[in-house]
Amino acid sequence: MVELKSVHKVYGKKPNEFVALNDVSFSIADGKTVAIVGKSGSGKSTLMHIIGGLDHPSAGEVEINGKVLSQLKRTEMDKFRANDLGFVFQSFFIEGNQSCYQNVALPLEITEVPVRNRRAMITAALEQVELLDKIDVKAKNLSGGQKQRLAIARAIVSKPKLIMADEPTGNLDSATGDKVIDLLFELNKTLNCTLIIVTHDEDLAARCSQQITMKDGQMVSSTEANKS
Amino acid sequence: MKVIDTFKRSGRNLRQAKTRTILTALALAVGGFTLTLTLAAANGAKAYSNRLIATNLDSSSLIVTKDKGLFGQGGGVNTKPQEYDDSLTSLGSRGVLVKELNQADIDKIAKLPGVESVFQTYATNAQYVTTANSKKYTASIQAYNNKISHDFIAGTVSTVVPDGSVVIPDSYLSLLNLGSANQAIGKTVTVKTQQVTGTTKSQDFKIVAVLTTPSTLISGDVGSTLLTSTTDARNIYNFINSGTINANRFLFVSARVVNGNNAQKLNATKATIINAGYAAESAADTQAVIGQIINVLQIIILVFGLITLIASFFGVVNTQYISVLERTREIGLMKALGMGRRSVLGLFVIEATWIGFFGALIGALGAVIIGLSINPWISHKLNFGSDSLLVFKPSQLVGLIIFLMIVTTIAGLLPARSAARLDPIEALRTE
Repeated sequence: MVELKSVHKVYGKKPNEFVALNDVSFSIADGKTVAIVGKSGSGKSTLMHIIGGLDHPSAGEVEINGKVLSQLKRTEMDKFRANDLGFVFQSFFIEGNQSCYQNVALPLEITEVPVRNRRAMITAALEQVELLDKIDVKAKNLSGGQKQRLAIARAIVSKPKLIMADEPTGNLDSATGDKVIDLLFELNKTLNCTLIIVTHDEDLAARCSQQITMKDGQMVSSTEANKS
Repeated sequence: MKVIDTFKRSGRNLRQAKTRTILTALALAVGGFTLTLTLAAANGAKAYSNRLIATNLDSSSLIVTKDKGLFGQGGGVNTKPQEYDDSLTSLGSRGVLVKELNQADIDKIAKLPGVESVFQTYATNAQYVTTANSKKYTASIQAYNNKISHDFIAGTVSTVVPDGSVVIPDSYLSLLNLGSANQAIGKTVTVKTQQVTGTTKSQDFKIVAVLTTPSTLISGDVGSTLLTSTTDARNIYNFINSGTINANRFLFVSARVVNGNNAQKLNATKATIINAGYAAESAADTQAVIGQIINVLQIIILVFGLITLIASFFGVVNTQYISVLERTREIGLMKALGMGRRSVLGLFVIEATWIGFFGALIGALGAVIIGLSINPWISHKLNFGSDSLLVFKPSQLVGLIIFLMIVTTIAGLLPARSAARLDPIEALRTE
C-alpha cells in the first residue's frame, strides 16, 4: 500500500521559490500497476523521488507498507530503499565494465546477503529476464534491451514489494521497449509486487491498472481502469 | 555492506583504472623508497658504529687521560701562555700542548677503588716490517688487548699473545709473501725499530694469528698494526722513546674496571677517576658521540623522505577526488539502491588504502632490490670492510608499509567523504 497525503514540494526560497508538487494525495493498492503521466516539468519525477525515498516532501506525508517515510532516520531510509524498493532507470545505470553477475550482485552486497545465498538469487533473477546465458558477460557488451533487462534483474533480485520504473523505455526503440514493458507486467504478476511507471507514453499508460496524471505540480486525475 | 564486499569492489575499481592506480602508487613509492633507504642506511650506520666500538674499544674499560681537552671537556687549546707543568707535551707540529700520564699517574689510577688494572697499548711506530723474501713495509706495534673483539681468520689467541709472537692483519699476507692466512701461521716476520739517536734494532716475531682487516679505525691505522705481547710492546716502546720526552709517558691508558660490564659500576669508577683529577670516557660515551652524528644525519634524510610523502599525500587526495567525480553516477546509483554513507565512505577509503599498500610495496621492494645490488659496491667505496651500508629489517619494512597505508587512508578520507555525501538525485540526473 502506497499512500500520499497532501504532499507539497517547494524548491528554493521565498521570492524565487518553485512549487514542484502542490497538495498531491492518492493511494495505490498492493499489486497494482500504476502509470504516472504528464509533460516534462509536471512534477512526475519529483513525485517518484519522494515515493522512492530519495527526496523529502516539504509538507505532507508518504506512507509505504505501513512506514511513514518522514519518520525514518537516514540509515533506516537506506535500509528501506535497499529492502523494499526496486529501481529501473531510463538510462539503465549499469556498470559496463562489470559482468552481469556483478551488476545484479550489488543490491545483495548492500543488504549483506550471505555470499553462499547470492548465486541462487542472481541466477533466478537473470532467468526471469532471460539473461541467464549472459551471466559472465560484461554488461557493456549487451544490447540496449538486454541492458534494461539486466537493470530489471538488479531491481527484482532482492524481491522488493515495490518496483519504480522511470521512463524505462525512453532509451529503447518501440519493439524492444514493448518487450521490456511486457517483462515488467509479467513480473508484476509472478512476483506480486506493485509497479509504478513514470512515463509520457500514452499507450503504455493505458496498459496500467491506474493512471495518475500530473500537470504543473498538481494531480489532475487519478483513474482506475476496469481491467486487471 | 560487508567488509569483504567493500574490499572486493574497491579492488575491482582499482583494476579498472589501472593506469591511474599505478601512477598514484608510483608517486607514493618514491616516498616509500626514500624512507626505506633512510631506515636501512641508519641501521647500517648503527651496526657499523657498534662494530667500530667493539673492534676498537673495550666496553668494560675506561679510557683515561690527564688532559680533559682530549675528550672535549675544556682545556687543550692554548689561547694564552700556561704555567709550565712537568706533564705537558707537544702534540704534532702546531705546538698544541697536552698533559700526559706518567708512571706515578698510572700507579695512582691502578690503586683507585673499582679499577682492576691499567692496560697500556704501548702503541708506537716501527721503522718497517719485512720477511726474507719481501719488500719492507711500514707498521705500527701495539699490545694485544683481549678485551677487544678480534675477527681471526687463521690461528687464535687465548687471552695473551706469547712473547716473541705477533698477530697480523690480513693486509700483510700478500705484501709480505706469506701465502694464505693458514700458511702464514708459524712463519716469521722481522720488525726493525729505530731510536732518535739512530740506533736500530731488529727483532723476529712468529705469526700466531691473522685478523681480518678491522672494519675501521678509531685509534691509528689499524690496517697496519701488529699486535704483540704487552712485554714486547713495552720494550719496543721504551726502546724507541728512550731519551725522548715520551719515555714512560702516555697520552691514554685503559683502566679495566671490576665488573665493568655493569654500567653502574663503570660509571661509578669513571666518577672516581675524574675526582682523582683525570679525564675518563667509556666506550658507551664514544658511541654516544658517533650515535648522535648518525641520528642527525638520519633525521635530515628522514625529513626529505617525509617531504616526498607529503607530495604523494596530495597526489592520492587528487586522484581520489577525480575518481569520485568520474564515478558520480555509480555512487548515485549505489546510494539510490540503499547503500549507506558509511559503506560509500568505506569503499573509497579502502581504495586509497589499497593504493597505499601497492605504493609502499613497490617503494620498499624497489629500495631493497636496488639497495642489495649496490650494497657491496657502496660499502667498498666507503671502506666499510665487512659491514654493509644498507641493512634492511623485515619488521621495519612491514611497519613502513603499514604507516604508508595509514597515510593514504587519511588522504582518502576527504574525497571519500564527498562521495558519501553525494545527493543521489543530483548524481543520477541524466542530462
